[in-house]
Amino acid sequence: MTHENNLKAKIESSLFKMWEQILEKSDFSFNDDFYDLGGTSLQAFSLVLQIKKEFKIELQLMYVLDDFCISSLAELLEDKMR
Amino acid sequence: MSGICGIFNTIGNTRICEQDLMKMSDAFAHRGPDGEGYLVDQYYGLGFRHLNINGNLNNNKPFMNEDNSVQIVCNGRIYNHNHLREKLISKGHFLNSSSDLDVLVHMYEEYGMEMLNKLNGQFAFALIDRQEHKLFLVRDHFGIAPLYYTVLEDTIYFASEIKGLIANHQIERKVDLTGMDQFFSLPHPVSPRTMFKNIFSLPPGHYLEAKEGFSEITKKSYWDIDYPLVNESLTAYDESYYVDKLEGLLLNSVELRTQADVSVGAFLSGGLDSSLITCMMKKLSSEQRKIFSIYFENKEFSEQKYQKIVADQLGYEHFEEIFKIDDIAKRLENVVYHSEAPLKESFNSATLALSKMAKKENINVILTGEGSDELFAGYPSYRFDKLRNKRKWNEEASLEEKTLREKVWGDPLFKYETDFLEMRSSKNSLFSRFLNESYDEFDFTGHDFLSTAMIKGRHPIHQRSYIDLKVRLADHLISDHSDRMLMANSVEGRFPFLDIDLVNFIRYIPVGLKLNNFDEKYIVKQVAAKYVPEPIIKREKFIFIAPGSPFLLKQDYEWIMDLLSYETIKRQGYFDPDAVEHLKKKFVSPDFHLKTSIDIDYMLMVIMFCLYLKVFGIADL
Repeated sequence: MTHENNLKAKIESSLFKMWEQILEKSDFSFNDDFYDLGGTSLQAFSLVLQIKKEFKIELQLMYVLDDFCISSLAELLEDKMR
Repeated sequence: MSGICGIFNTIGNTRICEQDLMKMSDAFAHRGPDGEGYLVDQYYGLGFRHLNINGNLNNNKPFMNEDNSVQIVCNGRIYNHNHLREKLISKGHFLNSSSDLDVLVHMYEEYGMEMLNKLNGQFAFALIDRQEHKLFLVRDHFGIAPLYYTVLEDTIYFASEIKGLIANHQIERKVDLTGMDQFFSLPHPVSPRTMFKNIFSLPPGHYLEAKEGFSEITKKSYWDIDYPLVNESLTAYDESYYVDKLEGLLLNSVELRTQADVSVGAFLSGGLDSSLITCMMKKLSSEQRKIFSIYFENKEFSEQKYQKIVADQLGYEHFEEIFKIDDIAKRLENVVYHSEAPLKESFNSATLALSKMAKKENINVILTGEGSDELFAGYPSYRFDKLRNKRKWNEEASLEEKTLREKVWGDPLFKYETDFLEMRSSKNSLFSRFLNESYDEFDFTGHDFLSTAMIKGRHPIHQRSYIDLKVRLADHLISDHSDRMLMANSVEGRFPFLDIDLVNFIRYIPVGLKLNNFDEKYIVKQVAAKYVPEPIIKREKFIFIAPGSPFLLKQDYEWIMDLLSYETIKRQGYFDPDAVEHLKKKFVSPDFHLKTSIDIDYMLMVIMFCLYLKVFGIADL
């Protein structure tokens, strides 16, 4: 596994834990849409706050107010970390 | 003038004396420590306090016209007074002074109440027409300058702060239960409602009229923010037209608001709006100014980095102070005293600290960026609406919920913050049995407080903007959070985004330039690109999460424990003491964390409400 793939995998794993906590469920994949899983706008907002705390990245709310999944969000965060 | 008061007999026969007026104005002496004046006639009396901003220290009388038939006391500023003055002089009026407020009496002579459509300013004034034996109480378009009134034995009492009214011991200090329900449901009680029974706030854009010898008191709206209907056909222009015009109007507004005979400063939060205002101040004048910031010791909340970026570019003298969490607790009682209401957050304490810093540096006037979030879809809720509408979530609400939405907001598909039914259930579990038994009588949804005609048929962005301007900005952000926290230290707040000419233009800016896809305040950012450092424009809007009640409870402050003691809560009768005990236990638990921006902090509301009861000596139920 390359260094880049390793970073993305770590981010995905952290995001998965956040989603579990916020959505109070575990039966989803990295490609499932947040809102299709029952997420709400306020929960998406909560996710942004947790991302700020854990990754020290101020993610614009616009990135989580349209369709998004763990995989697409991990790519975005990986980009910002570079 | 920065604070006014008065007494007017309609059919009452209250004996009016200067001492009564002085007692009223003493209660808000902090608004105008530089002078005072009184005038008493048979059926009325007027008083005011003066804050030195435009000279006029020798002025100890209300403003009058040539034959003394019109008299005015006014808290505020008329920004287009030069233009009005020229017109009045050309029509033969003789103006006694160079004061901006002097134009008002002559404007009334010339135009009657039609004058209100020609004013650009922040003002609350009382006008006496001695020929008609009439009183007019008037408040500006947005509710920047406060004005409260009550009627006792057919006599009207009015004052810039509620403290001026309750200084009269005949005026009862009782909780307005609908005001209390609004406090638990909305950002703040909404004008005319206040937290005090039978004490009213004159709504923004309204005037009240009374006549000696007649019991009737009428209240009329002279202006409201009338957004275009969705199906209204409007002339479309290029984006550059709107950007250029917005820039010109905002620059003009900042220019008008920096006119004073004393130094004008600004608060700098590090956000887009205050940064743009301060950068425009710099562009307009080479005058060296003072700017003020506070930052939080918790780096997660601190905006110090952004404040420094702007301050470095400006080259202004920058005063900054660190704000520790303890600084909030020690100010809460004073904050409630000046706010004259309980609050849902603790961050007014930061504004109180800022105004103290400004006063220490001899600054009497401060510009801030309030109003932009409401006018340009700045809050996250505007983006949430877009998501909700796309996914049709609002259609999933129950019939009962939709019926309440239709009644309160004029649209069954509009959700403001929390569902009505969810809120009602939370409140009912907190309120005492006595209150719950009569809940239907004071339930805020049963008492109209907004004009749904101004919401119906509008774009969702404009619907939310209208509601935010009424329930969040007018009675909260520019009143208890700004005017009251600034005036507590004798500092006047001015708000360039709340300029009537600017707002009349903003109404017709296409919604896509306010919220562009999910990019908030898009057009403001286009204007700011010429003035403000890029990192400020590109940053996500900072959402300040002031420490909530878990922090306060965990500090084990004795005064809070006294406020919330089982016996006190039971005796006062507003809350179920067992429910409060349950909340206390939950909130002090080490594992409990409140995400303040999402969870509703009912515990903080109870603490603030009990503090309000204590500070104002309100009777038990």
